[in-house]
Amino acid sequence: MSGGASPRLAACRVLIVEDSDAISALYTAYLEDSPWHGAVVATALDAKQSILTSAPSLILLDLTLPDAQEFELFDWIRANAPLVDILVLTGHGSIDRAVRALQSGAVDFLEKPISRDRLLLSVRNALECLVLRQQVNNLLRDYGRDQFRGFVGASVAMQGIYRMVEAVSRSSATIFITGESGTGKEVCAQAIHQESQHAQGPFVAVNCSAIAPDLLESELFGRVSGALNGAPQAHEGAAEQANRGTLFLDEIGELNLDLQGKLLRFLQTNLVKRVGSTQERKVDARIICATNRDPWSEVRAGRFREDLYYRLNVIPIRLPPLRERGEDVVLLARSFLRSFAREEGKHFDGFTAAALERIRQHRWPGNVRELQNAIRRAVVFAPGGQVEAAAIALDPSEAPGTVEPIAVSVQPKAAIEPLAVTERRAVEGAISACGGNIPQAARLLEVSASTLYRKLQLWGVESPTGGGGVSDTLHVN
Amino acid sequence: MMSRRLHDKESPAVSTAVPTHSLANADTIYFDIAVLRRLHKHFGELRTDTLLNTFAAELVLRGRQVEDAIAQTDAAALARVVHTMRGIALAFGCNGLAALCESGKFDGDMEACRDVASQLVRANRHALAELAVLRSPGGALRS
Repeated sequence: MSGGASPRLAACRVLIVEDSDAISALYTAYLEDSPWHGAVVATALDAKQSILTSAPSLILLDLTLPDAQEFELFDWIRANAPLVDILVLTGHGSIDRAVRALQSGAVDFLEKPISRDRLLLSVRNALECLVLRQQVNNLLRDYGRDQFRGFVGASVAMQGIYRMVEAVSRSSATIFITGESGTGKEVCAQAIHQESQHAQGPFVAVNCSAIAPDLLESELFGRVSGALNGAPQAHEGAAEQANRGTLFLDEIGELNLDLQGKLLRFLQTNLVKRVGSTQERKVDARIICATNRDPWSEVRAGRFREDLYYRLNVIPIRLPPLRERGEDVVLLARSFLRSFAREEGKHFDGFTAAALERIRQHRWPGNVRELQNAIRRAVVFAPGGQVEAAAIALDPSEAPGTVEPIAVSVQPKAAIEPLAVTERRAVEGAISACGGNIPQAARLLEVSASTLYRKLQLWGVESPTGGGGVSDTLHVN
Repeated sequence: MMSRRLHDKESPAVSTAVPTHSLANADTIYFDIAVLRRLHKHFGELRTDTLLNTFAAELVLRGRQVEDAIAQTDAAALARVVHTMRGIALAFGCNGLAALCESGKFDGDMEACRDVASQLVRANRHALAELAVLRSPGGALRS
């Protein structure tokens, strides 16, 4: 029986529960040359202890035991070790019992007397089924998930991300997430945090592009009272807030070189020094960084310190753009539809075939965030029922096939203004229309909030939200 | 790879009379000699001896339990031990004993099954005696 047995089969354990010494000795002899390991117990009490100590793969169970009613041990095993398979051994004329056992989850039954070949065949079949079931479960777990810790997606690309998140969360190594805007970098960071040993601790997110450069150091590392003009209060930085938790630094590529050096020192020593203080404080936090830029290109362009790059890039995770995620776009669209419909108090019956086709065909350059906005608009404007293709408003420049003509009003030359001015007017108009809510304005403009913060900073406009960039990031996905 | 719980046991002493007919040519009353020969073929002489020693020891034990159950008029205990004895007998080809176990209603009135139970005790002893003869030098299992 040992020839050709897979290693998985050889790792199986068989427990024989039989109160007759002679019969258990016989079965033991039958199974002696088989590839699986086995043990024998004679009472229900011993069986329970054996199962609780080390659950076997399969139990050969004689229903008639001296210290238990007929199905007592069987039912106990189903309740306490549901993953253990049971092969019931019954006496002649016990078909009713066999049927009861099968209905209650036994994998098979054998009627006594049981020949060597019959026993070996049944045990082998049961164990092979068990091994296959475990393999299927493992595959489903590893490759069949359609959502994970805030992510929605069943594509091969995302299965790889889920496994990566599970693997890296057990490590304390620094993680560097890259990916286009809207791919879910913060969702990824939160997933790692939730899976990690720091899950009970705080998750502190800092959008480095959303904070003015002269404030960024104090936002990250804190400040003592009076260290900054107009900021009389001492301030605990994000690093200290993240103690025993996770510090997520988004848009790390926006840090200037001086601050990059300070960050590197913090990563190397786990010590922070508040602005204006000489005292160093120890911080125990998991560090996750992210950028939507190509970090190595930034290094080569001299905008990112090479030593910091290597210090951060211990475990890189690249989030795939939506266009590389196949049917995930449909899963996400349905998920957003359900969620937004609930928020808006409307009822939708999914999408029409044409609407789904439109969703599939679009390239989604703004990734999940763009899809999220498109579905949000559809939910707001559609009355309910099935979402029609026309309700999925896309950026025409990114639509497949021909580009729809845009109506242009002819105006005198003198009225034409530089594109940058037009852009600034559009941005400021959107922010104003949203009551100063930058993330909301960014959604309507279909850009990331960080892009708006960057532009405001460039234009020297103070952020309406006060520049408090901590946790001021978008939730994607 | 199976771990063994049992150790070799001595053949039990047989106190009943040996059946009067010869068993040298496998002319058995209780045993299906083919079953015993299959054991021999699968496991060899030494291991088969060990198994048969275990079997015989258990038959002695179960015979005593039948006697105890009769003495204590414990119908439930009697039914349980007869069920077990039947399973053991079948496993080792002792079909005559198994048939007797099956013939009586051991789960009802104790008075009604007392006679059959007494027969069972005697048959149990005879089966042990038959096995001893089969295993003796010149017996069917040795030839």
